[in-house]
Amino acid sequence: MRLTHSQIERCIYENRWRKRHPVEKLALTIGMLVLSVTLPPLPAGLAIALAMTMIALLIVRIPLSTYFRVVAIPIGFAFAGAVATIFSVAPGGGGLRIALAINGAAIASGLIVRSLAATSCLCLLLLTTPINEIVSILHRCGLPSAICELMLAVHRFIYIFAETAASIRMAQTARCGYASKRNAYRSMSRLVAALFLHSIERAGRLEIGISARGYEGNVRWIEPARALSVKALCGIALLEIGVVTLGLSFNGGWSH
Amino acid sequence: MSDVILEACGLVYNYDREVCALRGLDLAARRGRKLAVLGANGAGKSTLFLHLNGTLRPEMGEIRINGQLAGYRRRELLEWRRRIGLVFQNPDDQLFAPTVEQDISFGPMNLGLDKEEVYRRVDESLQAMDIEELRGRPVHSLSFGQKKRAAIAGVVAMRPEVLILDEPSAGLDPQGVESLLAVLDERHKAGTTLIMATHDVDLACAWADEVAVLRAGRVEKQGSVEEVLSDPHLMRSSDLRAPLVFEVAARLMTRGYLPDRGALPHTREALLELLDLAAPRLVDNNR
Repeated sequence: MRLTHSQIERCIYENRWRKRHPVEKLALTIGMLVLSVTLPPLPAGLAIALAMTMIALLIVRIPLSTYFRVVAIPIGFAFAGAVATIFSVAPGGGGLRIALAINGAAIASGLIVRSLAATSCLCLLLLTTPINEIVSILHRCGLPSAICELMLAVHRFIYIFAETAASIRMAQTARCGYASKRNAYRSMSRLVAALFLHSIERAGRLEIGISARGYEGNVRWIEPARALSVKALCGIALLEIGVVTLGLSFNGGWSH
Repeated sequence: MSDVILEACGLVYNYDREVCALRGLDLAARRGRKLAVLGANGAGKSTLFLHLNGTLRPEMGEIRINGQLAGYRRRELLEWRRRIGLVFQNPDDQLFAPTVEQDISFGPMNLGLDKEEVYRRVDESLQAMDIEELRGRPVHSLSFGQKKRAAIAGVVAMRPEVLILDEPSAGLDPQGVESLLAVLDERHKAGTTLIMATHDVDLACAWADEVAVLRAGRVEKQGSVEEVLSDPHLMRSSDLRAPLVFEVAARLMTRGYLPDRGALPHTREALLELLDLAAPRLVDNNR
């Protein structure tokens, strides 16, 4: 089965942390993300990856299949990158030589663990927090409103374009647009061109639509009220201190 | 105070040199009435509506709200759009906030209302459109009918005196049209003047108090439903057809099955009722 955006949507709007304050979720996931990048990958990275996965599956109860499908995409890239670090290419013997890199295996495994840890952090955030709540925190942290609005507009348009692209593609398929490789390339290029035109037209219509509701260059709407739990923040802080302690005690220092 | 709340006088507008969208259009909407604007595709309905809330500015002619000339300065436009609410045909042209609740709050926030009032308006509009359960839902996860209601709620939240709807029935199933009309009727009872563009003559006939027929950028005729829609020549020349209920009732009258001087039925229910009343006579004829 393919991963669909409605699966991700359902997860975001129906998970057990839906009503939690976004600051709590950001403190946990971004805090852990920073730790997974700065601490030496073993054993802290493993601990983080494990902890975040457990939280995602057992506490937030994200469906197993959704979670792993989402995590698998970036991890796939990480593996491809890691394989490349194992080997080194050097001139020699009148040509190029491919050899095992010094420390290649260690670097590769570190890379993979780090990516796993970082990915699990980001996926937990992505699957529990609607984009508008993240953007509203960024706005309060001082990100200019123009950029915040742009982020939200892009997010909204992703769905509109995914729908449009899907229906154009279906219409093309119905007329044998993808019956051969040649047809497929031609159809694909037309789809992209149509989508560009469509997006410009769409943006124009949306501007008229919202100006009819009094838009004057400033997007404002109500933000849902959420209570910030001190207990949860303390728990998050403890968890993060624990990970730092674990990471430092095994390696005897902050740097590798 | 005159009973005309919104008036267009002699509007002329061209999208470019070749296409004349509006050619001296006059229209008057009376306070507290339901006006249907009928016209074939390309007759100028949507262009007219964009003029009625100040989005497009006519090359000639003027718009009057409550008899006063509408102005195009920033303050005036905001006030104009508060009083005259426009709902677009495609809800995706209008909805853009992450959730339904946030989208509905967009208009009231633009009016500069305080938080409490904004929340009150949001509650009120969700209730008015009967979509309270959609409050926290992301806009892109809604069905088409739900999007349509959310879009109307976003305009209703500004408490307009006139609510203008461009093809509100387009894309809805019969059940969806019926329940949408029911919530619009509630708005009408609450005192809102309604204007609706459509090319569905049967819908216009059943719904409206008054009808205006648009053809090639001009209002050919505005008047009572019966006066306008039972004019076969006008309907044909405007690429429309007379409502089915009118045609059936007229035929039954000429054939003597219905009393000749009776009022024409506007809805299918009214037509069926007439038939029930006439049924004994039909049975007599069969014998």
